[in-house]
Amino acid sequence: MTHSIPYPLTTSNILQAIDTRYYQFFVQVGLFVWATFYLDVLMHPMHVVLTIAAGVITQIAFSRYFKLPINLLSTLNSMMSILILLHSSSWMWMVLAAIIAISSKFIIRCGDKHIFNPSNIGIVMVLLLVPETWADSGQWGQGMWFILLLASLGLILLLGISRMLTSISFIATFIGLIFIRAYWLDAPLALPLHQLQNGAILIFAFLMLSDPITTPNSAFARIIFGAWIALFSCFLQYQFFVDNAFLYALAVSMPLVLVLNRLFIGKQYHWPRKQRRY
Amino acid sequence: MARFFILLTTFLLGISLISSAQAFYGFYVGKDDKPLFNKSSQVVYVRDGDRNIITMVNNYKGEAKDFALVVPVPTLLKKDEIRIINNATIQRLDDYSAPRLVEYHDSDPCQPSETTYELSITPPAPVVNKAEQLGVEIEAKYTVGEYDILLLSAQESKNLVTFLKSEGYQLPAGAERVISRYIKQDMKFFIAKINLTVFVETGYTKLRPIQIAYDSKRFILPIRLGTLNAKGEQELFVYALARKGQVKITNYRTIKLPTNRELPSYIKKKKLFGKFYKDMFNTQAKKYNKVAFLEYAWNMSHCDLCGAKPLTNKELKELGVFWKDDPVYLSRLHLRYDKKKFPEDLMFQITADHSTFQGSYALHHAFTGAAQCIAGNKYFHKELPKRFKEEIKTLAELTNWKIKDIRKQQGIPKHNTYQTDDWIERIWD
Repeated sequence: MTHSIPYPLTTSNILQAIDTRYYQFFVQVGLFVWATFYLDVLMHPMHVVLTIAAGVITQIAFSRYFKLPINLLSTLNSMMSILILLHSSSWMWMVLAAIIAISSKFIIRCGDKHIFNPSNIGIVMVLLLVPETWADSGQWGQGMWFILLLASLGLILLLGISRMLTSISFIATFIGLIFIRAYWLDAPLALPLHQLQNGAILIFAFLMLSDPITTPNSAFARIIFGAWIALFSCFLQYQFFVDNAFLYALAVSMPLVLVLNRLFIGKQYHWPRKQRRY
Repeated sequence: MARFFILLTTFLLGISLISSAQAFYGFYVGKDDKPLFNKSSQVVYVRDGDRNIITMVNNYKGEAKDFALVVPVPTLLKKDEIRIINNATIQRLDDYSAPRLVEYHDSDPCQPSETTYELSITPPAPVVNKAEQLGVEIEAKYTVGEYDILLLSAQESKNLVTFLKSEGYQLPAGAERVISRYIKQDMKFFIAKINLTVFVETGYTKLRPIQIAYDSKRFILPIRLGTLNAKGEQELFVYALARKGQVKITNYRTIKLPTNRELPSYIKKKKLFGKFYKDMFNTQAKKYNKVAFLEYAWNMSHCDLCGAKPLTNKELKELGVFWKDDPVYLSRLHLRYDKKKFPEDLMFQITADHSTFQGSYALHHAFTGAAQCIAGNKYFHKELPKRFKEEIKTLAELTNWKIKDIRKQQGIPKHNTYQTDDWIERIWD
């Protein structure tokens, strides 16, 4: 295990050696607890238990089948994303989202990596297929943008700016677009600021778009990809009045990552623990 | 004399400012006679697929000739897409979904076990039509019930504003910018004025709600025009009716009104429930920024401790519910808005959330009999004071009323302490 200690012992080396997934898990659990106890967004405890159980069981089953080591950290993170973003009137659809999310990692692959962001595809498929589900982008309100921004900065410290370029580029483009729209509408500054402070957008940008596995390998491609998602989301929302447009924009755009990876060569990301095994 | 401009909150172009606070009158709780919220408006929004049926209630008290309602709409409406419905149906919907009091009476401890609006009528002023000269297209003109309806489209907000001004409307400051914003978003303008001849013939003393129906993907309420009213905050009640479940706002947070609290019983005796509701809402609205409040969410087919009976199929149909057999979910949202608090129009989505909610407050009337027993002593000297203390605290927290004043109003009923020499009775004390 000695080789897992970063050398030389600089702050940035230590930070980079920490598996970011612990941090993401911590932030997501924090958000879930905040939503439950402070924002009064109540989810049936059974939904929580069954969603996590379904994700874990699916992960174990596929890992056994493909004879892979069982790693539950990513699974737990995907499940937390589902619990934070998805609502359903029945536990069944939460479980279905969990199963789709995890299965997609093993079934829909190109080369040595999966194509879809697991929680994103799980949520989007269920939203499209089952009328009994919904995503509530209003639930976070406008009051917590500062906390979310701090949490996002933590993620940038851990993953490094380069790996967070999709999120950063998404937010930058989104800000640009809503300010241009406000300028075109001759609306007061309060309008774009209000749109920007929506907790759901920030959670999506920094927790879902930050997944280093499914975003493009090259830093430049990540910038393009983030900007594209912002552009596409705004198009869906303002032209077609689609609710939760950013979730759909990401799901539909994932094949674009394959193209970007061909066009722009970059290094595939691996979680620190996996690196240690080599 | 200048004509005024009313903008019903939602869609309603802010209101003409000259008529001061008379412009909006509003909403009543239960059967109280006094208006609770000034400058309030009510909108019933039935949505299913891309179909939208919106009923706007004109809580207007003033001279009928001064009334005008300006609403941005996504499509040009045909005559049969506009109609008038009865005020009584809206009142029923309000009564059914309003916060309610639930009363309980303690048993003997010794034996365990609308709004009315009056409009003064004056003859209509002659209307001069300058629309064409100004590049404002009068797309349609109808008379529906007591209203004259105009549907306008314009390329330039300046022209529309000039046209409206030439018609005698006093536009609030900033109207042009806001109108321009809606024109850019491809919205048309729906304008309703009172046709006084018809209005007199109908014999009504109060304006009836206008209902419009159209197909559009947009599930929004354009409140920006309403915020132009410089006279501070406005009150909006949205009664959303959907087939699938609760309707939620997607761009603002929605908070549930505090509910299931126990209040001192004098609230009922002194007819203070209306004031309680109003002050509780004030306290909540001050506490939270940029939020809407959920006041009621229920499947219309049944209800628990209803304030009024659920609406009949006929009443629902009048409100625009066009589907049969399937459930009708009502979400009653209440918000207090101004330019700062709500910089963006309200956007909604229908969800499959079937959870129920109602604002419900319990009163326990104390037993007032003699209660000459040991349990009676305990009830009057221990249980009641403890309960009253908690109820007073709850009431003070919810309404910001002074504890001292509440305590003064809620006296503990008198009780002559029961004395007994029977040692067996006393050992259980």
